[in-house]
Amino acid sequence: MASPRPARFGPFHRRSHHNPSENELIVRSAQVWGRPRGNYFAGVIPCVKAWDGPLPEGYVGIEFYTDIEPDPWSAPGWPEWNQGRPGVITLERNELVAIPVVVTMRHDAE
Amino acid sequence: MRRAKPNELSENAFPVMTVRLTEAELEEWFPVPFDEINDPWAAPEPSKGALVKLEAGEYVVLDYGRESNQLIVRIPTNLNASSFIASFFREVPMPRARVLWHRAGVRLPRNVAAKSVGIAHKPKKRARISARREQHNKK
Repeated sequence: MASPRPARFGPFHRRSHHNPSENELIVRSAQVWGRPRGNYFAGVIPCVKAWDGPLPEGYVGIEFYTDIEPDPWSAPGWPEWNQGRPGVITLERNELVAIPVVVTMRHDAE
Repeated sequence: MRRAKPNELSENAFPVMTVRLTEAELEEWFPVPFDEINDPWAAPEPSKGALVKLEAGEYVVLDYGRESNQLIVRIPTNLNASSFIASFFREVPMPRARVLWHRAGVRLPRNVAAKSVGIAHKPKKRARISARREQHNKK
């Protein structure tokens, strides 16, 4: 019998070799955060971004599942959760959002 | 195309196409300044981003991931995706084979090259001609 999925959607992952403290933040808060992509256009709103699929072998990062559905308009391979979508938590309006996650794998920098 | 000012697009933009290309190709095919995005909460990987206005007048948001070498092309909702794609390929000499995904219902223009086009080399024909010339000279 297949083991039950820890949440409805996943697996997804974040690669954190550029920001090794991110793993601890995600595990401690059980949330993945997201800011606007940049300030190069005025209409940009914050969204959580991740890589689709399990954390590849040898990569520093976090693998997770979530009950929050990714935006249906996301490009394949690049799930996003925009501010205002059901279940997306607004931490600072137009600045910072989060989704609750279940972490299933953690690989820290050595 | 030109780099547009941030206040020229005040609505969100949504993916219409993803493309695989090198950073050198990005610079060649999109000759505009890009912003560096190194905030890990702003992008899933170190990225370059820009708001660009095509010569046809459409705005396009470009997000290039430096690890995945993938470009996500986004457009505002009020833009017709098929007519945007036609304008895009009129201006960007990118082969169709580089497109990894495009929005359902959008067709790539037929006149876009499938792959990079180069000048064909025909050494065998040249060799045959020189052999014939040699035989002719011997006579």
